[in-house]
Amino acid sequence: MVRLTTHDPRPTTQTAQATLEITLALISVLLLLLGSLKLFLWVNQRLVQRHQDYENSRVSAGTSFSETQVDETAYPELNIFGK
Amino acid sequence: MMLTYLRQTTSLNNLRSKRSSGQIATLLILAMVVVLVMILVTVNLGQLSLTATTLSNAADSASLLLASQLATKSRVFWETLGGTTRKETTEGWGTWDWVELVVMVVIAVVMTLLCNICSHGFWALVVSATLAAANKLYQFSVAQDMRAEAFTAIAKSLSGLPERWGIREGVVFLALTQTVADPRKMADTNDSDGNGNTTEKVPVFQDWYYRRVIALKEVLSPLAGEINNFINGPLTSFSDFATKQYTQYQVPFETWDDGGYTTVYTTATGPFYTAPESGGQDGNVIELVKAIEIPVPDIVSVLQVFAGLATSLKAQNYSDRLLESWESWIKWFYNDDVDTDYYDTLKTNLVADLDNLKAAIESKRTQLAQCNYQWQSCITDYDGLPQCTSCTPPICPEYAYKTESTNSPCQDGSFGTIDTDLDDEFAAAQASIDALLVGIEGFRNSILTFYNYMNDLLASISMSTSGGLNPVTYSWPDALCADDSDCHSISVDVSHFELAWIESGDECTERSLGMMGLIGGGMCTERKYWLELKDYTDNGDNTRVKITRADQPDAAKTGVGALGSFNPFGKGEITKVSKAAYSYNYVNIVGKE
Repeated sequence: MVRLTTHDPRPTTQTAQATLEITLALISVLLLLLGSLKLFLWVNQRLVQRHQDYENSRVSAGTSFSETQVDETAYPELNIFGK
Repeated sequence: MMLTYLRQTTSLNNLRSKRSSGQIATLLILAMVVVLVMILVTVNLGQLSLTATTLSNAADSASLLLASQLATKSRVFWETLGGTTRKETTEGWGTWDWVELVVMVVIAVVMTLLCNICSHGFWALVVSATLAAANKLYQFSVAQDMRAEAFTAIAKSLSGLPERWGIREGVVFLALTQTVADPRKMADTNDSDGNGNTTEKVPVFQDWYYRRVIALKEVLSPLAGEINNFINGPLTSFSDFATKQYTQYQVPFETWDDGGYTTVYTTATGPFYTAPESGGQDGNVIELVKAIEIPVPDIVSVLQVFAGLATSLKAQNYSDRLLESWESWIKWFYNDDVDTDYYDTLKTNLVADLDNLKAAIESKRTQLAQCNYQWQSCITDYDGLPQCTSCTPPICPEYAYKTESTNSPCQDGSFGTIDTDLDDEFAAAQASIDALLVGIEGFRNSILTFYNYMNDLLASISMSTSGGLNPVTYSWPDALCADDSDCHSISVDVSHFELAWIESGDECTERSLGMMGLIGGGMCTERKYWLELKDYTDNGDNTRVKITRADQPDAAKTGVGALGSFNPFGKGEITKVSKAAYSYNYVNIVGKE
């Protein structure tokens, strides 16, 4: 029977410590990425919707009695950790 | 040492290693790359949105400025007419009504004159104030680098242009100052802001626009004059000439009558007039080709195009409308790029057809039978009257002569006839065709002369140096452009618009009974005079501003940077259109694209 693992000169406690740290770090980085992705999508959706609203308001804004207001409550909310 | 440590820490090999140090740092760096990409995309989208918004704002404010100026002029005339668009009066009015009408007319004329020269004051004020306001509102453009005195100086400079061009250029200037993002500066050697300081640094755009207005002033008047000359000169002459080729028309001539000259008219027939089968006029080409049975070429339909051309161009306000659209309609006449302009088609179609027709006529003539003639000899009798008798050669006296041909159509040497008289219809027809060819060649030369003259004049206001007449384009370089190229440009296109004006007229509304009690034959007993406001409103179709931003950066330089290859809109163009409706009592934006 041949062992496929290489020899690790470190004590077992140190190896476990590294595994624990890398696990926590992976989770943190993953959360960071997910949060960034959510933020990225939210910012860009808002940019697009605001621009669309602006374009749609051009004609009414150029009239004498315009009362058009942009409804910001219709924009997507920022939910980093989900609803 | 430090670099080695950094390389070891950030190396991807750390992820495969059992060593504990550096693994988290590597993961974080990988995560940062992803986050940076997302930031770049967000920045690009924001930049795109900002550019589009800037263009939209500029288009909207420009169309509103245009409509506002036109509405103001409409309002002035509307007030002049007493708050109505049509003012009427009849002869039955009292003295004070007449005075009122006369005063109205005088005021209207004065207001018209004032508005024509108002560019020296009122419009300059309007444009200057608008531009100053725009300067404060929009800071993402050259406007932020231009001082207020520069706006005032340019507004004053615009006032020297003809009214329509002053309004148009004010709109163009407003649109450009809001959208051009050229950061370059230069010494104000031309003193474009009129403050006397020629060493200060001013935006390159400011100097460019100052020089554009000067070029416009120098070129507009000769351009309009040359268009006027061409339409009323060569085009009208050729149009009349072409019409006379295929119609019957009246020719005046003077005759002596009762001790004085009287002008009388006689009917002349063009050589391509579709003549009756017989009894036509010598030199009529259509009659000749029918008689000798060769195909009749379609010359007339081509000539008809030119017959209507001068009329249709004259129907427009050619001194102005035709000037601003010169670059499009001149292509009907002359276009280097295609062979379908009049200059080429006249040569390739009409001249070629006429040359072929001449050859076909001559060829057919030589194939005709030798003419047989009727001969006669005449002597004078004792009463001094001629006594003529027919004879047949060779049994004819020496003084006998030919009277008619008996086997027409026929030929004899260079002679040819299609009827019995001894007139040479072939030579006359060839002369008619030659005259048409000379006329066509003369007109073609006039087209070329006109085109070259206009191009020489327009060179001073060309697209590359001064932005062109309409649309107006300003280009500038930056670090992303290829060497020595202006890869960013803003183009402003202002539609043709009408200026309000007052039309005056009169009509008879009541007549006395004429002789024998017949209605309509008598004197006009009541006449209605009216003043009517024209072109005082528009639904936006003619008050339209289109702004296009085009970016064509060098491909080799766009691989990096926030606005580089990550930006799908980094290369291409964005166009925004705004239409504003107006009348004497409102101005509204009514459409956008």
